[in-house]
Amino acid sequence: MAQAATKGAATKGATTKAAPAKGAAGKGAAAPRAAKKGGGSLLIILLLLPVALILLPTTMVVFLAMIPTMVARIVDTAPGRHLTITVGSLNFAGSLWFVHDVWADGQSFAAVQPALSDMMAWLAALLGAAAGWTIHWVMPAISGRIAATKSTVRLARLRKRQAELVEQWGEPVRSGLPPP
Amino acid sequence: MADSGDKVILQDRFEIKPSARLAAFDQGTAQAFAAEDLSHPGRKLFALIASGTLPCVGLHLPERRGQIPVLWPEAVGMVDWPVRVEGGAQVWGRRPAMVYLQPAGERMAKTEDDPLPRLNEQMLTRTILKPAVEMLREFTLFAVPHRAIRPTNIYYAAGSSGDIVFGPCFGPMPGADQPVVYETVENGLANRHGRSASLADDIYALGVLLLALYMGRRPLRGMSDEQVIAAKINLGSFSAMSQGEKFSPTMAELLRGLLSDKVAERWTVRNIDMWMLGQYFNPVLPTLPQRATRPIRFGGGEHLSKPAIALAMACHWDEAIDFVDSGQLEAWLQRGFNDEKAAEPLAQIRGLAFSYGPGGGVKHRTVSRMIEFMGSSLPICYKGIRVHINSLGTMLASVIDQGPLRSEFAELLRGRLAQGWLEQQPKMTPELTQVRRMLDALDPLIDRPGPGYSIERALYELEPLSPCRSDLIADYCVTHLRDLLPAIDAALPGVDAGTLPMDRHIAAFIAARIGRGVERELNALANMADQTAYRLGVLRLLAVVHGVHPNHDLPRLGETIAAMLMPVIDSFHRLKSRDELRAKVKQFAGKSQFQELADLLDEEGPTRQIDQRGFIEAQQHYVALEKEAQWLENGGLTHPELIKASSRMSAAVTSALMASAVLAGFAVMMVA
Repeated sequence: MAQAATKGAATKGATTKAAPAKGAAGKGAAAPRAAKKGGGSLLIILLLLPVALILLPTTMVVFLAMIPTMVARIVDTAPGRHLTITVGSLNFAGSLWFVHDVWADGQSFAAVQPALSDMMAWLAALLGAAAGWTIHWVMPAISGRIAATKSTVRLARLRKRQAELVEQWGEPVRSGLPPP
Repeated sequence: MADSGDKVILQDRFEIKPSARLAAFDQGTAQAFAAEDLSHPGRKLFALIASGTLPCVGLHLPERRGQIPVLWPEAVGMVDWPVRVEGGAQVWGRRPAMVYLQPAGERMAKTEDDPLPRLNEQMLTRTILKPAVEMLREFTLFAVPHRAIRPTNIYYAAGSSGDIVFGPCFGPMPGADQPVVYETVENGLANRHGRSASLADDIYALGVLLLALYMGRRPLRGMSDEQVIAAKINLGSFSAMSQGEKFSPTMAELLRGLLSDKVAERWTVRNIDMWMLGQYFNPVLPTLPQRATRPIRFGGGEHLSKPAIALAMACHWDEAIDFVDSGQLEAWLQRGFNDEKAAEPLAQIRGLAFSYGPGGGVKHRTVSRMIEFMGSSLPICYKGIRVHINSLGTMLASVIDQGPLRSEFAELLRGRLAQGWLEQQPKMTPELTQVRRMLDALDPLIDRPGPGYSIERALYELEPLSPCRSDLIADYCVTHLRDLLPAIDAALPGVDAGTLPMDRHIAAFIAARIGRGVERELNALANMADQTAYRLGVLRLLAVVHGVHPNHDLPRLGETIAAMLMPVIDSFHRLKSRDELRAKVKQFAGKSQFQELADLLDEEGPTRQIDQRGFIEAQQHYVALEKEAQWLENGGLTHPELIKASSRMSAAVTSALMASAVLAGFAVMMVA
């Protein structure tokens, strides 16, 4: 993702002088940013670890319910791990059924077995994961349509401005263009 | 000043009749016509209509102080005159006109061949010399010469004898109608329009007149012009023309003084006054040229002096080229004058002839410089041009429309032959120094080919009285800059559509008369390929004249200038500016505000600068827009990689938001 963003910036940067410098800066800063990002994840794990230990029954149930997310994490090799986030977010939302079951039984180890036996809870967790996968697959088409519309509108605006310049200065205003 | 219908009226008083020619009173190029004094009918008048292309001294005469024995114009001015018929219609032009009272007596001699009266010393002094001195004294005060003192231009006050009046003199070019015998050596050899105009020349002509009337016959009659000049060179004017005639000592003293070939030794009006009062003067002895020990044959004759061979070379130009090439001249100068170093100045002359002027005319320039070297009293000679140093302007005015002679004159100037003549003079007078200064100033101008320079510029620099010879306004006889714009305005309706109010003559006339530098304007005129700059140059040059001589009643010129400037307006980039400029140009041109027009459209002016800067910015903006459009058209926003990346991000964000909403709902439920 970061690579694609840099590429996009570089392409756009052809229009202005400042843009390539911006792109170059982005490339140079990639390594420290990755290190920072890794550090952040560790911090989150360290903060969540005591909570997980205190809520160990809930943690055990959620861990099992989040198996589709783990699969997504394994197949998601793209930088940014967007697929993992997409699937994981909705998988977690579906897993809340399990959480409700555990917490309703007093959040004890005894409540783990009954909760895991709740088919509706499994359905909710898996449906959440499925919804995440669906969004991940459908979104490129939607994004493509939105980008095409944006591109058309912006191009029309540029052509209109050019036409205004020709109307104001005559055909010779085009003479600054490089020969085809 | 103007005509009413077909009548030509001068100063609202004198009617000149174009249909009534009086050829007997013609003066060279000035033609005579009958005239009538409308306030005193019955007076017998005639009018001289001068050429509209040559300088006319008569237009600039001061007021006459009293009666002097010369036909003096009753009125002088410009008139509208029928100049020619084109396509059945009469074309009118402006011409200098001088109205004279017809002389009551007869002409002393109707033609050059008529017999002359023979007068004794007393009669000569009373009837000729006294009135002549009266006239020349007045002319000295006016600083104008008569230059037409000859029997055919002298009238008796009454009848056919007795007191005389001198005829008119302001119509033709000075000395142009004089027979060679009445001219000094230098003027006799010069072309008729290349003769000088000084009172010393009048004194000389008076001397010849007195001599002729004393002898009762024309001196040197039957001789060719070349022979007359040769005789004057070889023997001195007095000896040559007296031809053995016996004179009383006093008469000889007078004639020798008047006919001295050296201007510095020639008598003046004061000397004549004193002579008439009985004062004795040492006789002026002739200064004869050094004679060689052996003659040299050239041009069908034998010559013994340097001026004589110089004269012969001037009269036999083509032969002179081979003669100079052959080396005979060097040998003769060395042996005939026993001068071993004679070759040195000749080598120097060849070097100078090679150094200055176009490459093709080296031989001609060598001959010219040889003539100057050997005959310093002769005029400047170059091919068919023979001109006195003081009359370069009048000579050029007479040949400017004659292709070959015009080219010869231009070669003469480019070859610095006039400067060469000055360098050969034994003494530089203040007048010659002034001429030298003028020629040096002209030197850089003559070689530049653009409008406002070259031979046209030389004409107006050398001859301050020359009318502008532009084809556009030739019929209007414009001699002063203040008349230029009105003349162009009047001439424009008769010319083809699209004719610009400028040509080489107008540019040169302005440059010579304006009295300030107009380099920038002339440079713009030099490049006709750049029509915008050229037309702006025309406008600026006319605006300069308009600034010096403002005139806001020039509707046709304004209209022409407005039309001329349309391509200039079209050179502005901003289309809306063009419309605004068209309106402003029309407004300024309608009011003849040429300077405002020039400022408005000036290449360096704010309007142009703003337009130019705006256009460059617009071009750059257009290019930037085009690049952005190209980027978009090439998938700048819709590239699959870009879409893929953005869609992954969008999916993650969407999922996260949805999950957040569910989590929030769960939290609410749990709290409840």
